[in-house]
Amino acid sequence: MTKNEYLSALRAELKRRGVADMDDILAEYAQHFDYKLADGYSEEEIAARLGGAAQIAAQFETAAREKTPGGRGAMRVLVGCALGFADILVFALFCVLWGWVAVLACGALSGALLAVALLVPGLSELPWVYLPYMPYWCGALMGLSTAALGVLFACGSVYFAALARQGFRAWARFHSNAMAGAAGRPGLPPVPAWPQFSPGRRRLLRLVTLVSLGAALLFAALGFAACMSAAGDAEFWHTWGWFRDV
Amino acid sequence: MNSQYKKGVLELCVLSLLRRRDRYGYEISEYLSGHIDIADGTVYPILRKLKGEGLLTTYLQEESGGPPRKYYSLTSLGREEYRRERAEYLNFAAEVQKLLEDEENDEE
Repeated sequence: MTKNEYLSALRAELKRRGVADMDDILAEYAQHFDYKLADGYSEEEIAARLGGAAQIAAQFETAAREKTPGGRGAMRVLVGCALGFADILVFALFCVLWGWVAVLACGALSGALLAVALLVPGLSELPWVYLPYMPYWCGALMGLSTAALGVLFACGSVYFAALARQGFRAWARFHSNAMAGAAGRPGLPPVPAWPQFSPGRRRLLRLVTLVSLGAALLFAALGFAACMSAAGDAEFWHTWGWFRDV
Repeated sequence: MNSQYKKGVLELCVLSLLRRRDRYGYEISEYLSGHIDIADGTVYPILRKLKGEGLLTTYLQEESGGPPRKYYSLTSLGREEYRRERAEYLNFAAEVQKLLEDEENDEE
């Protein structure tokens, strides 16, 4: 490719991409040819070493796009608005998730209180403890069941609190990366959305969950069986008058 | 080597060359293509980009027995950017080197 061929190819490529200051750019490349020719290179050699005209024009195009503050500003506003709307939904989602964590924590607390009231002898007779009548040993079995249920709820609460926390961090990272991307800044690596427990912690949580679930079911079944045999009736609640008007 | 990555480093090289004294485009192109494996033509888009970002200015200077040359000169913003990018790059390169040399030790 001769000097003229190269320059007209470059002109065509620059024009196709709508690059500004075309003549200025072409003058610089023409001068490059002149200097190289003076150093004793042939036009073909110089053209080959310059790199493809399309490639060079593409670099001028990206250089121009990167420095346009208008486009970037508009992009920033657009991404900001989109994230703002998404934030409303995500905020609602996190409220629900934290509400669920609170529900589970309350469940855990209720299980523990019930267990204390049923297991500590004489406590169910106190005037401010409202529990339906049942023999102590039946109550104790039920108490063990609610204690296990409380532990199960506590495990759920811990897990979902970790999920809400990690999910929030993942969203915050996505948020800042999206803004950084719109502003042309590099982003940080994404954060996983699922809870990141250490292997030991995860095993412990799983074990406690399974054991407490099993214990809750087992003690509930034993409690029911004890109540039935103590009352001599499958529907022991009628025998003990649990639902009779006080 | 990744061309996007190389482009970022080339910008730093251009700033470094201009920190010592003002140069014209061809001079920069010759120096870089002589030391780094790039096409001669890639330097001009970089110069234009840096000028667009306000890191460089240009002026024409008459030469004896030739057309006027377009000289590139660092602005104060360019100097500041160079200092920042230089520190960042050196730190990065040192970390990479440390990492790669550690790997060699592991294999022994």
